[in-house]
This record gives sequence, C-alpha cells and structure tokens, in this order.
Amino acid sequence: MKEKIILFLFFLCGFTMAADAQKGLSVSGFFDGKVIPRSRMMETVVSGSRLSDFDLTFFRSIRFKATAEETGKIEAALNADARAAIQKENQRVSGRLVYSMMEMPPLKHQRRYLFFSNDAKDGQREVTLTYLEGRATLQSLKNLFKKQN
Amino acid sequence: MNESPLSPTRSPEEWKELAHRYFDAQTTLEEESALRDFVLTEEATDACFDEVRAVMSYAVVRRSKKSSPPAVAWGRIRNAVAVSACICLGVGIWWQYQPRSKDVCVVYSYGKKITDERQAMEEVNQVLSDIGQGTAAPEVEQQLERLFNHNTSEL
Repeated sequence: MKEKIILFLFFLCGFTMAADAQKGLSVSGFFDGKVIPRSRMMETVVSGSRLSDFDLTFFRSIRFKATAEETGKIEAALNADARAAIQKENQRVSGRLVYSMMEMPPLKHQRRYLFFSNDAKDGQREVTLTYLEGRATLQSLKNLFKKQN
Repeated sequence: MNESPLSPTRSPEEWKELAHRYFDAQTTLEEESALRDFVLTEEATDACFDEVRAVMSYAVVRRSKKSSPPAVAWGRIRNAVAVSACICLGVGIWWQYQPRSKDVCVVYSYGKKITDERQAMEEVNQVLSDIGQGTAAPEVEQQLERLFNHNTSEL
C-alpha cells in the first residue's frame, strides 16, 4: 500500500512538472497549437536572464493570421479568462476586440499577464497573443516602454 | 576430581559423574571438552548422555548463530527508501514552485525551430512596446473610428 502511495505521488509530481505556466487559462489551447496549427504561427518563448531587465521571468507569444471565426474563438476564450482577471484593459473598434491586456491572479508569487492584439497587416487580421510572468507590475512595464518610445 | 580430565580410562560411572557435575556447572573447560568428545563416541550409549548431547548441541548451534552476520533488515531498508522518496518528492515540488530561472530563447517559425536570440528579443520588445503604448497600433479605420466615435469598453 505504501509503495502504491509513493508511486502515485511520483506520478503527480511528474504531471505537475510537465504542466506549462499558462495552463489553466482558457487561451492555453491556442498556445498548445490545439486551435491554430503550429505550422501557421510564429511562436516565441523566452525565459531566464534575458528578461531580467523587464523584471519578467517568462515570455511566450504566438502571432498568426486569423480568420473571423478564429478571432471569435480567441475573443470567447479571453472573455472567459477576463472573469478571473485582477485588472483588465480592452479596446474595441466597431465591436471588434483589437487590444486586451489583463492581469491574472498570481501563481507561485509571480504576476501573470495576458496580452492580445488584433492588427491589420497586408490586408489580413494578424493576432498576437502573449503570456507574461514575473514580478513586474503592469504600470512598471508601461513606464519602461514609455521611456523608450 | 584429581585425576586427569582427559583420561581415556574413565569408567562409565565416572563419565556419568562428570555429566552430573557438568549440569551443576562444576566442570572445568578441559573436562567439558573431554565429555563432549566422549558423548560423540559409541561408548556413550546410556540415556543420561542424551541430555548432555542435546545441551551441548544447543550451545554449539547458539554460538554459531551469534557469530553469524546479522540478517539484512529489509523492513528498515524499505522505510529508508520510502523516506528518501518522500524527501526527493518534497524537493521536487519545492523546486517546481520556485520562480523560473532556466534560460530559454527560442522562436518557432511556422513549425520550424529557430534559436535566434535577436529575433526572439525583437518579438519581446515589440510586444512590450505595444503594452507600453497601451493599445495596438491604430489603423486608419480605427483612427477614424476614434475621431468620430470613441469606443473604449471593458469586457
């Protein structure tokens, strides 16, 4: 019996270690390539010391050309995540979500942010979905880039 | 008592007497050794020597058991393994809940992996720059919309 409990705990440990940071969010399916095939997207993953200047520890973004249907799916997922968000900023144009930034409840003492933008590029809608993790506040990130721009 | 304990000329009565003294713990080591040798011979047919043989055999077996290496304590080993596994598990969970520090910098361009740090950091800067502006880069359509119908809403 004791051996079975230990095996179960090991299994549980392995499972939690395999889980990604943005798991648990409604938009995680997009990052996992379950909604949009990876062959259609540009994905960027950065973590560690390269993000220390921004006081961040993890950055993951996907960028892809989206159809109206796909954009609708993302908006629905963002709406679901927005219900749990601590703070959020959204901008709509003609009822269409073009910008969204939300701070999700912290995990492991790390702040978590979801960023979405929907721009027109080469006559098509280009969607960028980003997940950020770190100690930086939203205001500190904005201030940092306001200075640079 | 004064005769040699190793005397081969003891009578059966003397051997019996020696056996009695053995049980009374009155014999010397030499006498015990002689008695042991005697009870293993064919001459020791009397039933009173059976008890001597039994006691001496038990003593020999007990001595050999004491001198043999201790049996492996599998129960203790199993407990030690279980405790070690729990410690490893605890350390693993603690490590999992520590902030990420592993350096990763990778771009997957339409399914193809590119380890181009410059490109990855450009993407980081672009996204954070958009956040810094507080909105996506406005298009003409959006700019006109904002001019005539400013529509910023909350989800």
